[in-house]
Amino acid sequence: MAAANQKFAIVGLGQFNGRGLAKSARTLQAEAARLAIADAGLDKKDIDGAINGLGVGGSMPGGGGWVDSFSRVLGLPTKFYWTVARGGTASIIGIVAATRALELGLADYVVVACAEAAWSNSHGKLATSPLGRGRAGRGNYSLGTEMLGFSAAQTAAGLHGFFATRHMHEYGTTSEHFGAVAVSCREWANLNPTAQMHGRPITVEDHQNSPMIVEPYHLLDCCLESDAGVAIVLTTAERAKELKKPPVYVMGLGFGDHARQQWWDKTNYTQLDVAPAKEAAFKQAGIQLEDIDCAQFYDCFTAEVVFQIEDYGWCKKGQGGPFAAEGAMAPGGIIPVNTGGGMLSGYYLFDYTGLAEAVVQLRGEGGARQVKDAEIALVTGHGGEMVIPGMCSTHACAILGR
Amino acid sequence: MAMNWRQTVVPDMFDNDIVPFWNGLKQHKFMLSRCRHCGAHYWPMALCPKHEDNTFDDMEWTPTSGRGKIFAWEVVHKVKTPAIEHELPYALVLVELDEGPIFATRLAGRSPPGLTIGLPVEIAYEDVPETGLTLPLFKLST
Repeated sequence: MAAANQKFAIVGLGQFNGRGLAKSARTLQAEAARLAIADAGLDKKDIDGAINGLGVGGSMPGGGGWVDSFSRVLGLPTKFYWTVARGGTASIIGIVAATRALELGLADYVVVACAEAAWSNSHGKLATSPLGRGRAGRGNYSLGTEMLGFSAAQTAAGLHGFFATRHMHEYGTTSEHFGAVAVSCREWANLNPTAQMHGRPITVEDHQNSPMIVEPYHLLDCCLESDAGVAIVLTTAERAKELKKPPVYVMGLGFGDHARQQWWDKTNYTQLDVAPAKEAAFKQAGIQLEDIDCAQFYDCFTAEVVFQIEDYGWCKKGQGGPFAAEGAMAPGGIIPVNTGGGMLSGYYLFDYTGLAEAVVQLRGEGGARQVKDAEIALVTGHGGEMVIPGMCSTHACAILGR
Repeated sequence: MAMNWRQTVVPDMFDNDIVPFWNGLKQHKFMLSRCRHCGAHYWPMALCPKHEDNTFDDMEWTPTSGRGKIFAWEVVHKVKTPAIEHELPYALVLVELDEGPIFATRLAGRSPPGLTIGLPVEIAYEDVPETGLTLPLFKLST
């Protein structure tokens, strides 16, 4: 189909992941940016805008305060260097900032980059804090109640498990349904040699037998920890046509934020604020749900995939579990979801994991996991630094196309 | 070193807005933010959205029942540090308070068996002499 909105494009992609890369997040970020610039066929001297798009601002090691910038590390001659941080929606916010800068003529080529040394942080010296990486501290908007055992819980499962039990209660979703999501992502990962869990197939039975982390979540319901970096280079459509790789157009962007009704609207606990995000992004892109060839959902935990497949309308509300169990999101299914393995089986880097995979698919570089004739991809983000028990309030939606 | 997590909750970490809540706990009062106009309760503090021209002066912290029902639950089986492993498994709950808001807390002691949504629960004040604070844990109502 003819894309309705093709003013700006992603022209360069750098991505890598591993465990124990023994570098700071800042260095990993610079390396991702270097790869993205080279991938675009550009030189460092061409890059005149940089966006530091992080999951979390000041509380992430190397993520705020008196720190160095990846643009300086790399020697980029940028006119601006902005930080955006809002949980797992940082890449899509970064794209908003980058495209607006291009539109205003503030820059010709903008790099948006993110990295985290999450695996190294949790297995190295930063892992010793008695209550984990809490965010408490004067001025940090703490209620204090997060210290009652929430921040000690392994992974963010202590914040997200509630939404799973609530969905199970309201719709009869089962742990096996969540297991089917994990299996689906793993099947995709086994087609992706760069996925962290490549070559390690799992079954729903394996999921059921994996250790309980925060009931109802087993180990295999939780996303990975990774040392990873992703960067993209964006420019205008005219400039994109002259470059090495086929342009991947930014066709639509949208956001929802149900913090406006948090804590008293009880429907927030089984759905995400997809509706306004979807409406805005789909309208800009001029597409319908049926036009989407692959969906790259934010999959911090398995239930979030169930919520999103329902909230976007691929199945009825409450039917996401059975939908997963039918293999509808797996290779050969109705809608390919998280085709690189997602964060559950690929690697963890906020919404950048899905963003990078969408670019790979739309360029036709997916190898064994390539979705045939992929023209339109959906990427989602899930974030917001809400205090407990806030479900991540922000939902971000990006429609990319070729 | 064995670490008592209870002593890690210290006033320094609180947002200024939430200080009245923690002061109430010291007197074994469970306070919520209440709208002076319609009486609706909020946690944490928020301007009551039902009145267009509300200001923060229209909200007041008031003692409430400290009772509610389990709205959602989870049971922590694994923690990041050995220091509180001896307390596993413990239950974290979202309580739908009788006054309306959702309050996130922990059930005192080890997780009871058979947790389900809808079970009645109530505040279980836990004084921490070392910090002078009282923690707002909850327990199953009997």
